[in-house]
Amino acid sequence: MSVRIDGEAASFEDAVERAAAVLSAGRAPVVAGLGTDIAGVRAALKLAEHLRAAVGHRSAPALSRDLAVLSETGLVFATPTEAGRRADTVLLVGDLAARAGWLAGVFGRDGAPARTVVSLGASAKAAAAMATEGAPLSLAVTGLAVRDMLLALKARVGGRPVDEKRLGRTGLRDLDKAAKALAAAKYGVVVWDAADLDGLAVEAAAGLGRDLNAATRYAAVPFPGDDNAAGAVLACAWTTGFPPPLGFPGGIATHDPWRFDVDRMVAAGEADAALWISALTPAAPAWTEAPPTVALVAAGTRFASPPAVVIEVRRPDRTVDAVLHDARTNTLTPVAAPRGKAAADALPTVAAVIEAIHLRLSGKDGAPC
Amino acid sequence: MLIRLKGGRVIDPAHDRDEIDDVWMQDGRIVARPPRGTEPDAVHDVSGKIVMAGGIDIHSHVAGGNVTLSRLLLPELHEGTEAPPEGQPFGTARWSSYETGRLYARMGFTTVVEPAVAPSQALQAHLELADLPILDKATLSVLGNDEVLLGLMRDKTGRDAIADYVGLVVAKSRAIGVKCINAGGSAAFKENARTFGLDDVIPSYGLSSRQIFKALQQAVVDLRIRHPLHLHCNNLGVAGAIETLTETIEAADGLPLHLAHVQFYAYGSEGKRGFSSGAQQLIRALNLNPNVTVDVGQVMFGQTVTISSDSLRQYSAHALASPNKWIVWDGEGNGGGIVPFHYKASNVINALQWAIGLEIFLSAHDPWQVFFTTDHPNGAPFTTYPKILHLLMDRDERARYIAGLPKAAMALSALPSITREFTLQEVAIMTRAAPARLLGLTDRGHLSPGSIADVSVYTDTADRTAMFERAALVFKDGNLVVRDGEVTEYRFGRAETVEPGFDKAIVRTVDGRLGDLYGTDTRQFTVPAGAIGRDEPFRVHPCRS
Repeated sequence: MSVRIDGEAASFEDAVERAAAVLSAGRAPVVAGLGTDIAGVRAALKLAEHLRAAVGHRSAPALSRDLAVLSETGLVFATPTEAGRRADTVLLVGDLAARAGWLAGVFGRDGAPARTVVSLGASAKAAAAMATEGAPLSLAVTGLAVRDMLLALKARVGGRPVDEKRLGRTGLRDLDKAAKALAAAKYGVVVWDAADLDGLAVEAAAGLGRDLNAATRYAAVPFPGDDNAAGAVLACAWTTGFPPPLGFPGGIATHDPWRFDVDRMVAAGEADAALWISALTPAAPAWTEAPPTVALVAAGTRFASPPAVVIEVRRPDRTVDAVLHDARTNTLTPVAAPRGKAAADALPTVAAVIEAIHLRLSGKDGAPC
Repeated sequence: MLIRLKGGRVIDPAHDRDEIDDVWMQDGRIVARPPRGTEPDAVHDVSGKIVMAGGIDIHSHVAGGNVTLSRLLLPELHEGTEAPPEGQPFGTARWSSYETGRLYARMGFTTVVEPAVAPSQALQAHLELADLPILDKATLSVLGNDEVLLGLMRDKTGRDAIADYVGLVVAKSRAIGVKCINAGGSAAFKENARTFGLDDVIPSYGLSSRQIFKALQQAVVDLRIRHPLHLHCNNLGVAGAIETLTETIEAADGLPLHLAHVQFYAYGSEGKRGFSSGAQQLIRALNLNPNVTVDVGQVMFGQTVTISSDSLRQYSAHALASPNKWIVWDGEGNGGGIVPFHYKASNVINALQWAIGLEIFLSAHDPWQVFFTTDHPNGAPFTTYPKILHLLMDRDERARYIAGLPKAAMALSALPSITREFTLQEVAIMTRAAPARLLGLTDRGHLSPGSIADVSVYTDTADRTAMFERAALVFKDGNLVVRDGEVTEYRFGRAETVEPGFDKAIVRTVDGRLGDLYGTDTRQFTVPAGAIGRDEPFRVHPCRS
């Protein structure tokens, strides 16, 4: 069933009317999930400004850590395509750094230079799969977190002392060996996924890569997030000046990662209406106590308890031409849906549903500009 | 709808026109005075006011990957203070595309060129520009550090293949011309070079910067693209860079070439700081080489952020970052760098940069050769244009600035002795007529019948800052979009493009090379019209016949 109100089948028109009522009744609404294409994000932002809603992406925790480091210290980074072509040394930071699929597309190409791999917390198997020049150098000290190892490594790369008692003699020797291997790179990359690192670890990883540029070339390659998270960041930034989480208090676009953290707002009972968008993955929000919710979701999404309104939407890139972030080139790219599939899909797009709701709310003719 | 602008002082240097007259518009175009007795649908009495074509900015970083990175790097520099007016979503969201369009429009500008779009980011840039209201826009595709071009040159595939490749990129990425930024410099930086001059060579390609820019310059000529190669030279910001600049001008060999933000190169190495004005040396070179045009890249004092695809230069400038944070990135071509910077009136070097820019403007013999830019936001935000016009038009205003600046800086520039004041005709040349001609946009920059009805009306006051900050009226395609310096409604313009002819066989070659290099293909820089989300987002202009 593609359209439901309170769990019962309904017409699209009724669902739009109910959605408009639910969202406009909120004094502190949230636009959450935001797993959609650029057209969907653009429409969602216009509605959010109208509603003065908070806006967040479901990759928010990891995304916010990367964005905080970007805005507090800056970053030296490379597109994965360029990194894959040049990297002769790869530092993997954290277990998720070596996510299968993601790295294979980056480093698995013919003609790339032989690679030395240094691993800080990545699985031995994943690290071994990456290395083409010698065995990977895995750094691990009992009782020390990835973050602490990273900070110690950054200190050694910078020629600064570290606490030998905590590292142990072997630990220090391995650390210096790793520092030497990193410094020997012609072009090195530091790979991480902020989903399994804390803010200080991300900052240390970014800082380590930046520092190594004093003598040779280095660049960071952070995982850009799922569900078009990086695309949503770009569209939010050019539309409002800011990445998510953001809000519109007093109608003014405002960036505040704590205040507009939509999961926090829901958990604290601040949010009293929600628009949940997940068109790329059939995912329901993980909220235990949800406010009245309008859900625009991929077909087949299951909910623990029925939201006020569910409208199933087309999946961008499968049944509608879409613009999405491409992780390899780190830019927006057009994705054409196969013609037959597009024609066969009767579901609306995220942008079309949001524009219909917006129109219902503003009571004007024509789509909002 | 027939509109009459009645009794204004019409300044239209493309037609040597400066007279009290009417301007008529209908269906988005300027029209001739209709037969006597025809009643217009709307009359605006503009007597005592100045009427010009809409302003055109040939070089302003308003969209694309680097611009959005600057938004993400510096959230604290653009916190909002007011809500937008009804019907103008995001119009006051600072540093947003929407605000950019609103602020340009209120100054009477109706066309802006984003001069540095990496082909792989062309879709993003066009999406950002599609959300920039009121103005028409255009992009330049950045080439000269991309592995495909360098590979074609290394493999000596010849002049035709290079032109075909350049034509393919320009057409598919929906650009109006070609930009080259520190030719070879970013490629060499990836190989750990830290400086890169005109005759330095990228180690793995054996190609010099001179060879690369000359190949692109020739390709633009061969493709009959009207806008000449738009070049950002080597050694930006370096004391003594005037030598690089004048060598580059000579290297143009009589072919058309546009040099961007030359203030940042017009630096000699004299004086006890080893830093002096090279403005007069530049002017001599320009007078001898009428094939070369330049824009200035004027500096104004205050906080800004430098945004550049010259990754080598931005890395070397990172120690000057204020606030102390910066971004440098490597991509398939240039990559780029974002370094925030604060130009201080008390700093001798910054004050001299300010003076050198004005010295270039005021020493130029031909206003058709020297263009009005701040290289927004690198020298200053575009919102400082009214102040700069005031400085150019009023020597007393300059004297007021000079009195407050370090004497050591003023002693190194000819500016304090220059008495010239720009006329309104010269302003109209620099900001309207000449940019349209340089870009090959024959449909604008002037007020003759048939041109698009982009018209700005200013109140003629001695305070030129006030005059140019808030246009009295602005019409875009004949629609009133600004009244008394405030945007009255959003409309969305188009991206102006060219589609040079090229041999389609090049597509397979480029697909093959991108596939080998990155596992991608020409879709990487292809911008489908349907992806933009607005009706008829592009308008194609003819190449030279």
